Amino acid sequence: MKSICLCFQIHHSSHLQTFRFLDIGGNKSYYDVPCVEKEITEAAANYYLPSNDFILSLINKYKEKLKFTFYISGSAIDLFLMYAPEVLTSFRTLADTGQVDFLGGTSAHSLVSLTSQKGEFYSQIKEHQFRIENLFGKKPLVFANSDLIYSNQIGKDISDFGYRSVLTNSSRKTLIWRSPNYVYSNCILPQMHVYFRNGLISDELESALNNLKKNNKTANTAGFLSLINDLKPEEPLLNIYLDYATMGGTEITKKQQYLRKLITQLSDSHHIDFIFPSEIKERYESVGEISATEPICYVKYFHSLYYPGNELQLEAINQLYKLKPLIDQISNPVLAKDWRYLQTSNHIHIMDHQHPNYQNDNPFINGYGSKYEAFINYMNILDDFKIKVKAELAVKVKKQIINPEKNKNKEHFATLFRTINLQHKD
Amino acid sequence: MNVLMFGWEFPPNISGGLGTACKGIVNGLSAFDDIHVLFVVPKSYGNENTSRFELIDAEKVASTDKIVLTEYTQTQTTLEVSSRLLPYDSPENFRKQKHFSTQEMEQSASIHEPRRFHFSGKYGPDLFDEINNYALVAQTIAEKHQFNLIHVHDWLTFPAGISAKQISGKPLVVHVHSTDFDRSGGKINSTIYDIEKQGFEQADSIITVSNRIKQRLVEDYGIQANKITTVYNAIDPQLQANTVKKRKKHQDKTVTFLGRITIQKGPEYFVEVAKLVLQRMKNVRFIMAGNGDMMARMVELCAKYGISDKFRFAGFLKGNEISEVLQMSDIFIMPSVSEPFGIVPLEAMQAKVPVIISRQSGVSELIRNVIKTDFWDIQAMADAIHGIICHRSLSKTMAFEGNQEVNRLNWNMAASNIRNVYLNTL
Repeated sequence: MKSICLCFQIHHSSHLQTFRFLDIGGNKSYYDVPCVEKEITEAAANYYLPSNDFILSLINKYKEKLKFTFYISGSAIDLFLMYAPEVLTSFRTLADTGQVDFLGGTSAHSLVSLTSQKGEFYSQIKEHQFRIENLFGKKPLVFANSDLIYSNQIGKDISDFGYRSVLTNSSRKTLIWRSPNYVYSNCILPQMHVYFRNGLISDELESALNNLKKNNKTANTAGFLSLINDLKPEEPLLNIYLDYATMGGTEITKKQQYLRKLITQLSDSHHIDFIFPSEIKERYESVGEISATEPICYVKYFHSLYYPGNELQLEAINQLYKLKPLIDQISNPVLAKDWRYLQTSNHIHIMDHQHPNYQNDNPFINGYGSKYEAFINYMNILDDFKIKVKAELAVKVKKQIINPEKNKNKEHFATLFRTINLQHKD
Repeated sequence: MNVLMFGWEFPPNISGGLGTACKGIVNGLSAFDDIHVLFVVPKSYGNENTSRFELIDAEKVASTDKIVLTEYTQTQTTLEVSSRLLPYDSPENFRKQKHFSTQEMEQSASIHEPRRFHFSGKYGPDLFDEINNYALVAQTIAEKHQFNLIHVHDWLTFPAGISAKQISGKPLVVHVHSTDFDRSGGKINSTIYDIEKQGFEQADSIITVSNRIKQRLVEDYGIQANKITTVYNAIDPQLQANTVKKRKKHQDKTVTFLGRITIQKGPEYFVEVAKLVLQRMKNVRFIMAGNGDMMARMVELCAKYGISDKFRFAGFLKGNEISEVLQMSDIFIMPSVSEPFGIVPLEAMQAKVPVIISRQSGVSELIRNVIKTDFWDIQAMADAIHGIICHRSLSKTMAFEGNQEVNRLNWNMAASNIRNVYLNTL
């Protein structure tokens, strides 16, 4: 018996708009709102809603035989709430069938797990967990970090935050000769189980779906099925994890035909069943410990050796999380939101020439001509954000001084301001 | 194969980038055992390093009586230069122009006697006469030497190449380093345009230094794209002695513009950018090095904006002075409106200086580790300067990666591509 765990990722971020140094200190928005709105509404109409209907029809047909799992990033949830709340309703309908589960993550789809900001990491995980449970009625039990980033340390951290298993990408440098189709355990903390996305088969399914038009054959699933049949019979698990958008788009009817046929064939097979990630732990034992000293990740078209990133990315992350102590002192909801949005990993990914957006010769495809411009734009926004946060703090300190009863913290704020000024000089 | 190559100048006796490029090409080609270059210049000074090829001085070649003046040269000899026309002027000559003495042409009394021509090898008022005489001498050279292919550089040598082709029947390769559109900033000289167009049409193959120029030839000269090949220029590896950073006398950051101060180099955009940057930053200086017809206007513009104290006009730089200024610079910027290639950014990258260039330059097609903006986008350029100055991690990354990239370039690569063009032409 082989268990297939079929997971889909949904992630969107607030695109940053061009923000010049002359805009710093002004009132310009950080986000390219029309662009984001267009992306979300189109994605909802052409990708997610029809795909959800399709999944629902499959579930209605095969009932409990089928199990689907979704990772919906915190930033995507925010954007759906704003521009396409019907997507969330549709997922709730899916969740109510009982055949759909959700993965946990960070509420900002951030890279906080790579930093030493444990507090921030914890609060983001808790926020995401709370929102998923609130929206869909299911508490996520398996953790999938932003871009499936995982390392020994991250495994240990999330264990402290209540998770017992984690999904990550199969990486040569971690697995070496081992197969991704088993359950492994964290080498520091053996009770933390690690599941690996089968990169080969997931990518194969993705390219099969994307190349339907080219081949022009009507739903020939034999090639993909043979890949699954070729897997060793003793391997218990197959984790497929791909972008949910792969299922929708221009060739949506063909893709659905293909998937319907594939799923029919898989569910008819006596050797194969579908499984939720949260069920893996009950069913399968770990076959051994696995060590990932350096972080591994999954970013579409990127190498998994990408982390911990280049100098610009490290600098941006470093400057961003330097603000954390200041953020903790203020309670402005707008700034808190900005703080989350600025952490989204997409803003950092784009500061690398390997990013797929730069492989295209057209400089206008992403607004940035190079990683340098992406960095400059981000740092300008961060500078502006810093100014806003400090202004907010100043207001707060003033209030404290006016109210002598609450003056206990005066000393504390004085030191805080000294740190702000020191940072500013940097 | 023997290649008969016509140039107009050869290092160290140069006033523009053309001679440097010719030297690079000839040296690059000499690395191939199967290629022997006969390089013809109007005037040699005896100080050229000719160890790797044969240099022919057109001045020393007697034009024999037996040559048949072709229709082409006959029509061309009637050309007269009206006024003090300087179609391919250099800053050096711009200064010297007033003192330019008209070269007396030493012609023997009878056309049936062998005669010699005198060439200045410069870009003076008698340019058209010199070009025509060069074409006459080219016929003699073509008769006297054995070769398989003719290769000419820019319009000055096109008549020579065409007459050599007519005498010998050998294929002609035309190398385009710039067109009159690039040199004149739109106000083209119709005579030059005709010479260029005729050269392009007569050529069996055309080599352009960028896709920009290739496109120009197709669109503005009506040349078929399939006979044009783009071969990017390269740069000689830097000498170790030049890499020592010079200490500056002041703490200010220096932004450098280096080039002719003419409309096609976009000097006014540089001043506009300086104005924007100085609105927010005080620790920046701007250097404009070069000479040209727009210099006075630039001085006035700086005065008008009240930024003269932060602006320096360094005048025309020669040889070592260029690298000295680059060593002192923190940023090099080339906001060219139209630049066929542009070699100075590569020199700046060798000197480990972060580079900002306009997308309207040919070199922007070749290099990646620079910031590219549109020439008119002063906001983007100012932002890039601000970003590089503010973030040490950015300037360090750009300097390092740019240097690495430019060190991978060499003339052998370009020469190998030129050799392929030769082989395809034969």
